[in-house]
Amino acid sequence: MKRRYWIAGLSVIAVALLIGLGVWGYQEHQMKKTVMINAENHYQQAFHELTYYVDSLEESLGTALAMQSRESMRPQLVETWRLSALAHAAANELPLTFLPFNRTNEFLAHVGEFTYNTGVKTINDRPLSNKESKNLAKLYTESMTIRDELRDVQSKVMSQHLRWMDVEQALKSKKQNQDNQVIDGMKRVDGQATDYTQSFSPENPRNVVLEKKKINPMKGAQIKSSQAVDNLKKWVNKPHAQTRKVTQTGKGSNVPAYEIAMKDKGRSLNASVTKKGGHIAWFLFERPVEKETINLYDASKRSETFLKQRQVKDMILTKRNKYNHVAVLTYVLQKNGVRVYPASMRIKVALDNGEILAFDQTDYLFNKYDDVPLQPKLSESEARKQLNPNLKVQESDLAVFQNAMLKNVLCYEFFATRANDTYRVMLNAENGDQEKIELLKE
Amino acid sequence: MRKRLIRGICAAILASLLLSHTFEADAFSNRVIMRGDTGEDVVELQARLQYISFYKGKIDGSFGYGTYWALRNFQSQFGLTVDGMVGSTTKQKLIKASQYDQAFVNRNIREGNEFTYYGGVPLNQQVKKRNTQSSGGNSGNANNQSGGGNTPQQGGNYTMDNLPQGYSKSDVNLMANAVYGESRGEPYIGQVAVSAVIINRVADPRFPNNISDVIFQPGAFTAVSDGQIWLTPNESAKKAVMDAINGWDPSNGALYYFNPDTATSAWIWTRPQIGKIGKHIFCK
Repeated sequence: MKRRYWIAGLSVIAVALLIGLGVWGYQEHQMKKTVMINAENHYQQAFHELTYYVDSLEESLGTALAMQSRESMRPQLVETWRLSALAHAAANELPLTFLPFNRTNEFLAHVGEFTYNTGVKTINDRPLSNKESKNLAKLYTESMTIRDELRDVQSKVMSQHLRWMDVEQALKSKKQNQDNQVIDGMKRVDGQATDYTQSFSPENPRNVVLEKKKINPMKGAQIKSSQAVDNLKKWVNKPHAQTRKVTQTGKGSNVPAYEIAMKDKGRSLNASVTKKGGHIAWFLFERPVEKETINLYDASKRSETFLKQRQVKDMILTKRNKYNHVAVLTYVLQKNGVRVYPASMRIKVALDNGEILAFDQTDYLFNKYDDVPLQPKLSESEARKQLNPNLKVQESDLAVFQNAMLKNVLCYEFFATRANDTYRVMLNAENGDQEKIELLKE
Repeated sequence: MRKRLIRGICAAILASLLLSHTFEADAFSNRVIMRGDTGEDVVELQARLQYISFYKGKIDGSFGYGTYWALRNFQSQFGLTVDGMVGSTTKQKLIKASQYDQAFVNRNIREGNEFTYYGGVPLNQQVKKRNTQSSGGNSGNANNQSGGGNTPQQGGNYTMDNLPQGYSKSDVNLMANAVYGESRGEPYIGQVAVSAVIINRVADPRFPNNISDVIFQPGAFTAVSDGQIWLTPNESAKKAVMDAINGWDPSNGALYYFNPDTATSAWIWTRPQIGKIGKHIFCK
């Protein structure tokens, strides 16, 4: 009797649990579905936006081609510029990082750069140069190809109900070359690089990252790894450091080099020494710095001694950053009184005892031999006329600057103030174009 | 008796005046001060320059461009070498030309008041008191949140936005999070390399052109996909980020990296490799 009650009671509980589990599971499933649908819709939206913007972009470029003067073309170019930024943003929301979906992005970046340079930045109303017109026509053709390819993918996505969530899954799984039409379509939208980069501060040229613009091949003979180690020990003045590991960079490296790891008195030192010429591209010591006993001036004296001892000449200190009890000092090459910003090097000094903790001359090695003509075509007073009359020029000089197209150009550099703000204005010394204007924060 | 007393008082006043004067002359430390510096010396420099109306900015103890131009103008008007640095001659000239009420200036900095220090204007007219609720603690908090960017000085009050041009504090914090989430088990140099990859991507046209878009690009970083980016980063990750944005690139220009033991994409193996740091292989 009792046992029957027990069984009945237990089975009621079991059934209740089962039902509860089912309800819970169903709810979870629904929730997951909602989240998945949300994510999927987000991807879909980004993709359709992308195709729409590329569409409008193609039209906009085509329209610009038919216009004559720069002034009349300007609104059209600005519109194209805006569209390229929107399209770029949409493209970057798609789950395609590990796919060569790069041409679309590059194309968009290139369009943005071109329209900005020709439509926004250039101040005078000279008609488009031959080269500019050709570029515009080329971008137009390219936009049509990309539009067609995107449209193709779009129609497949629509007609076969392909999901971007599947794309994401496919990209994550090893069997990537499964039949996934979205990926296949996107793979066709692949091509080669165009020259473009975000503009960074003058002292941070980016041509080193974008290996294509190797302005200066390293000078000197090929060296063996043992010599690289010797060079490094001499450079950092640690003859007794123990070598832990020497490896060679692979073919993806921007410059063939030996990667060296050392230990000196329990501290690690990492460095890169170029195979050609045995230059120390950079090194980095690790150690904590807890207090500050010397100031920037002392630090700059230390780094100047460091450079002098290593026969690095004609460098001028242009930037000083101080954080976490270390100072990072940036030096640039000065040739005939002209600052060559792309040829820059950085030295990190510990503010507790003035030790040189790190050093980097990659940019200097890449850019120091670039022979930019150092004779300006424009006079300084002519260049000054381009400046906003509210700016008060405090300092001016000539400087070589790497512009957004990764080209090193001669500029007039003006340090000017307006109220409490300080600006650095770079005006091209050949045609007066404003290459860069920076609101300095330091 | 009375005369003597008066004489005594006079002497005392004179002595104290002399003393205070010599004290003032010694107020600057012996160091050369230059742009980029922070601290007591800079506060005094700014206050003195403001006293004689060369400097119109905030007296905050950080030697930025505003102070620099004021100093250069001062140097040129007083017939000194215009080098924008404060050496002993410049100090002497400054001390002669201006006054410095250290107690007044320091108190206002400590209390976080908005104040100026122009000569010839009564001091009590130059202070705008801050709400008592937030006084003092506020600037301290700002320091703590700022990650690697700031350098709290001995007093804890002088800060300077010393980030390289083009980076904000939130960029640095976000990067530190990503770097920590991605590579907390890695050697320091590997963390710098991971930070450098983020920066290289910003520079490359095939990727988004700002830090946050690069980090949050779908599928770009596993730490973002699995939520590990929201762990609290440690000091090492923050330092690594600062080294990378200051220009060190141990990855030698890499755009991708992966852990060969856990990599799930076949495509990543097709990229030209640069080198291996810790567990990560870096590639173009």
